[in-house]
Amino acid sequence: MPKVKIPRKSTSIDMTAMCDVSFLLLTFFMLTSKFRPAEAVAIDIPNSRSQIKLEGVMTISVSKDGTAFFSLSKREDREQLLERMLNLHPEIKLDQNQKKAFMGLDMFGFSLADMPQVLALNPEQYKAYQQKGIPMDSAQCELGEWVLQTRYVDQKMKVAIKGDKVSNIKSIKKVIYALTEKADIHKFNLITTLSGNSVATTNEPTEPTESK
Amino acid sequence: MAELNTAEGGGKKKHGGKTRSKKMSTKVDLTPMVDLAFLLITFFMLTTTLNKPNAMELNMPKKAETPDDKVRINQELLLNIILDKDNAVWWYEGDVASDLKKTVFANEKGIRDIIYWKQKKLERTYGNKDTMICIIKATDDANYENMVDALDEMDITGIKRYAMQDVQPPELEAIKNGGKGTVVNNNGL
Repeated sequence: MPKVKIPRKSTSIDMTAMCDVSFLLLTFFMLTSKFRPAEAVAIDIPNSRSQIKLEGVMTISVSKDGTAFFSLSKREDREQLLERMLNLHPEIKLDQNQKKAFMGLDMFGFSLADMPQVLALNPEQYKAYQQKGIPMDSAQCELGEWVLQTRYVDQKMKVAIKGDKVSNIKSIKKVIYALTEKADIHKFNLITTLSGNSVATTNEPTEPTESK
Repeated sequence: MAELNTAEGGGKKKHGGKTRSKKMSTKVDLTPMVDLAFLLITFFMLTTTLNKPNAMELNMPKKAETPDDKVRINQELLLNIILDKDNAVWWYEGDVASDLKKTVFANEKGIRDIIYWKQKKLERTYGNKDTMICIIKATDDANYENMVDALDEMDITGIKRYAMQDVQPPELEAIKNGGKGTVVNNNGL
């Protein structure tokens, strides 16, 4: 009987096609991804089960000590917003460099009165500058103005509140007040992280005990 | 394919002393390149999806402009939750209660069990647990995490109707006295 010869095949595969595909994907993800902008303050956000994803929002951040920051993720809207705010407050004058500096800010927390002086700082000075937060008292509610003017720029833009776990409820209430009373926004989002521990328990409800 | 072909050593002199240029393979091993590309893809994929924050929705009611706009509700359906300092939670049912009861945020034996208990109770009387209305209030000593936790409890227990409100003076008074004292909830939602 003749021996059946099994032809020896090479085990190596042509990698070119795979390489093409992977680099195509790589290019796609590189171009679409955006890095997290540098934050003016570190904010430790609370946990929740909620999993709604947000995109293209204005964010009001509230730091630990209750100062409010405003940020607009869409860069192209910032110019319009600034123009509108300057029209409302003709007493504030900014030159081209200051306007450019404002466009580059991902997050800011200073009052309109401080704005010309803060925007004139160079990057190192700006980093060292302790931002005092956007005024949001009921008498002088600049935060409400910012939100309202942003809504004029883009009517569909959602509002998100990003508060620190330990920030006092008073400052959050002030933000909510600014939104509902000044900007007439009654629907907004609270930014949270997904938690692992607060999974709904299915245990039978028990009578609450009279504990004091 | 994916390996470098090395020319055989002694084969040169075979063809009548003619020196032929060595035939070098033009193929390069692409495996490490693919490895690297996939590593980077993974990195960019993970960073893009993780960057989008999670959010919960909160709807605040519009202020009632005239007294007629206020909605009167059956006080049996009400559960008031008051957030206080040190993650404490006070609660009472209805509009008027003689005492506040204290509990905590916990998966068991906390405010969640009280919500479940109230839901069961309403299911027995009304046949529908979705009739329940939760009112969340916060004293000035509470922090933001408490508020998010309370709203999260609404989501977990499936409460359809809830609202945030300001805490009332009688409630503050009762909290100061350790929960003792009549609380009157004179809100019209």
